[in-house]
Amino acid sequence: MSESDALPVRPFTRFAAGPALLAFSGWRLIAAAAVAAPIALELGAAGAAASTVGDLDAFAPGALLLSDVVRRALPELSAALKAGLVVALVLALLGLLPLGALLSALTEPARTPLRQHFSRSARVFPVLLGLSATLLLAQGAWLLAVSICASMLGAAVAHRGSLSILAPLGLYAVGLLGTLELGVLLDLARAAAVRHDLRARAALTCALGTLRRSAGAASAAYFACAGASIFAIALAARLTQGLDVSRPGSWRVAAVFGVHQLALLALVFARYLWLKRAVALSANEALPV
Amino acid sequence: MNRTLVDAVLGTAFCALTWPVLFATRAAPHAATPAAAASLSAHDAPSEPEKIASYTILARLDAEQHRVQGSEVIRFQNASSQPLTELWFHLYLNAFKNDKTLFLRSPFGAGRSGEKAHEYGYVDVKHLRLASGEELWPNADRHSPGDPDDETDIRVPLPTPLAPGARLELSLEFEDKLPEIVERTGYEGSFHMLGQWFPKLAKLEPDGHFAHFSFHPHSEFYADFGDYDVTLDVPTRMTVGATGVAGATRSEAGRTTIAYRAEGVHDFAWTAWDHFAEARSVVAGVDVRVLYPSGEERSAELELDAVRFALPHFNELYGAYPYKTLTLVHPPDAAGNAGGMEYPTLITTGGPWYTALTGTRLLEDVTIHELGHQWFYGLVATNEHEFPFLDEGLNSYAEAEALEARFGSGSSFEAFGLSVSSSTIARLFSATRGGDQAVSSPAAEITSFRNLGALVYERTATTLLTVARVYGEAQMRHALGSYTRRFRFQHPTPRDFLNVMRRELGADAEKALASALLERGTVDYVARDLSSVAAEPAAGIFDAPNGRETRKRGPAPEPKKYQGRVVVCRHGALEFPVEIELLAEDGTRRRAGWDGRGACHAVDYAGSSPLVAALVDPDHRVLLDDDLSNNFVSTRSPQTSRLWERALYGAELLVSGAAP
Repeated sequence: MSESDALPVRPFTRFAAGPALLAFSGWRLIAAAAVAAPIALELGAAGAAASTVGDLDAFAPGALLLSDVVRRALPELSAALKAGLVVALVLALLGLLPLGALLSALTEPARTPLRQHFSRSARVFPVLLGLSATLLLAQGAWLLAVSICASMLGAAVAHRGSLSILAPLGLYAVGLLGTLELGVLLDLARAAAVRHDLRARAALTCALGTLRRSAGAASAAYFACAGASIFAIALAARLTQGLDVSRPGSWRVAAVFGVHQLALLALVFARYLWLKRAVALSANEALPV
Repeated sequence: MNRTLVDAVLGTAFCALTWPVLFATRAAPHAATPAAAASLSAHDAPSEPEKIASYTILARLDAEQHRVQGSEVIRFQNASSQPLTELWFHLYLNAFKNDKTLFLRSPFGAGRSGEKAHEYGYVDVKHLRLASGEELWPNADRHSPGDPDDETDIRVPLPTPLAPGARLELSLEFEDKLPEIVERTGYEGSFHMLGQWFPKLAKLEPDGHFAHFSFHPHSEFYADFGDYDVTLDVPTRMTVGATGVAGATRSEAGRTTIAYRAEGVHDFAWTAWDHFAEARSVVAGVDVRVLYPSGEERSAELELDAVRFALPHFNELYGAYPYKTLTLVHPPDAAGNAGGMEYPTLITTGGPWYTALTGTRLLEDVTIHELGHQWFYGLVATNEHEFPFLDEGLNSYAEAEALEARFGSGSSFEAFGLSVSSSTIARLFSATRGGDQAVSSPAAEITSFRNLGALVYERTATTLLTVARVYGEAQMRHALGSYTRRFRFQHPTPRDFLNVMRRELGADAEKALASALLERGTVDYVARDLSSVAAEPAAGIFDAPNGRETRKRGPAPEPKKYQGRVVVCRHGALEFPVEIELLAEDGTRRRAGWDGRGACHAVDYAGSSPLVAALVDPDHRVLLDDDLSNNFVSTRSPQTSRLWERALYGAELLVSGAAP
């Protein structure tokens, strides 16, 4: 990017990635709406609101009406879910574009037009796609290996009291940690690819170098953000439990909607913080020759 | 047998049977007349059973070869009105002898597991002698009647007829080869579960015929009451649980013998394993013992808690549990098919170790269900082969009632802000099979295991829950309690059950129960044709004292009044009284009643605001209603804000987790 393309530095320079972040979260909302709409429409058509109290009855304790609606709408719901998963997959792939734009924005010290970030993202899109495919396959293989090992371990320690439960559980915990570490590697590689305009293999090498050099810092940042996300979801669950939409009152629905969207904003912000850290960590990495 | 395990395999199948005719034929010998039923009371129930067949057994377990060497003495009395020329023996273990037996030859696999046997098993009778020493076994039939491939139902001719009231002592020697657990019985590693493991007399009916049958995968059992003295000889390392009270224990040369005595029961089961941990508690004066795989303390604790609630609860509702002990056996995961089964004073539970973390109440559910069988099978000893709904169905109601009394609306599942009740689950599965077959069909005539679950278990429960909600929950509890007390230690039929319901709940309730249980009765309430208009002064030509008067249509007077009407129809044979809720535009609600008789009923409305919606059965009393969505009619578009909010949030979380 040429120096002249940069916008003037403003007091909120610290949020130079603001528009990209907004695009990133907006894309998530649109993607979610695309997945949710067919399901909500099917449930509504199947009678989820077939009551003098609207859809309140479908949320009543015991789930009598809800179960009936789901039972009868199952073929349509199943089709809607399948379509939703395809949509989600396509949107997940397309989601690499706003992610790339956000990473691009995080590499810039000053605010830059959003279209430039998207242009840059489109340029590295094949690289981001290759990285995602490679590391998702690696995660799958790793989980499969761990499952097989846990199953064998479970059989070996069967009938040995608590050990028969704790040993496979421990292995699964290790497996989960490994999967998350591969997630860290993936984001570091994405950051390197965007920052240094690298191809997939070079980005992966760069990310491995970063991880070797700053494993503690990277993991700490990643797990702190993941922890914060989980905390936000749990807090929202606790708050909405108190709001109890199974009781009458439109304000309850509005309040629950607000709480949920705040929780999701927290998730987006946590992701933003982690990606910012990932970009910073990859900045000092010596590039592969 | 456990209904949750049955629920798990519910699916599709169909068959309509002419059951009412069969029912009338089969029930005739035992049917009490309505007049007789009117005079029944709990005081008529005996305080202990008539002991027709008592057993003394010595059994030695070879835990390595999975064999049991047994000797058995049966003391039998001809309590019927006819002389007996033959005896019938159930050799249930032969159901697992090869793939051609009635139990295993189903193309769909065997019973609830749907699995074929991996290792086969059998019981060989080596001798069957009278007290005089006369050998009877050589004259016994070699196979079940009309089925050369099955050896589970064997006729043994008697050399001389046994007169009514006369007694007989028989001695047997037998050897069991246990199967790898197929269903209920067998071994898995060093775990051994022995149910239906010894040669057993079929139930003698009052008219002198034996209620004998081949072991069908859908069927359970039926036997006379008696006393059981069973001495078990097992490797000393084994922990043993069994029906009855443990007496003298002796250990010698690596073997231990334990003498068990169970009085007034109709079966005996036991388990032996060298990896059992044990928990004990005294509940309502009963010594409760839980045997579970070591490491699964949490499961044992939940099961014990379930008994702490349900045993006093059932005592109060259905009469006091009369035995001193209750043993719960939680089999290891690998032997899951031994779980979810009932025997006198011993029940098997089950579920993997993580069950308690999933939000389901599977452990409590299975424990309370099997405990309920101590009444609906153990004490009220109905013919499980001929009338499976009388034990599994009524017990599924008792289970749902107890679970909801204990856990409320989240009695089946509670997590992630969603609560699902046991009655919802019962209705859900019941509705999938609606009127496929009569609920009261004999086990062998039910066309699939899934139908067995949906109809025998869940539709019976849903029917009783509906009657309870419509005619009174307290009344239903009392009625069922009257039935269990009246027929304690007896063998009632469907007619006996219905007679008690008629006396306790009235003719309408009994009619609905009979239709739903015996005749494939269904019901679906439908609301339609809602209309509402502003009331206007009548126009037209009217005869008045001063001659004819013509009144023209004019504007409705202020404040406006509205008239409306909604039509409610009932499809199906079942009749239940229902309420109809009418909603006006200003939010006011009112309810009108309909006795449910007739095909359709018009509900008229008059009020200061237009009628905008109507809902049949707003409190969901009629759980048997096939389709709840057509109970509602409205002139407004549906309000689905909650639905959209939840769907969007769920999708947002999915996208957050799955997307980059």
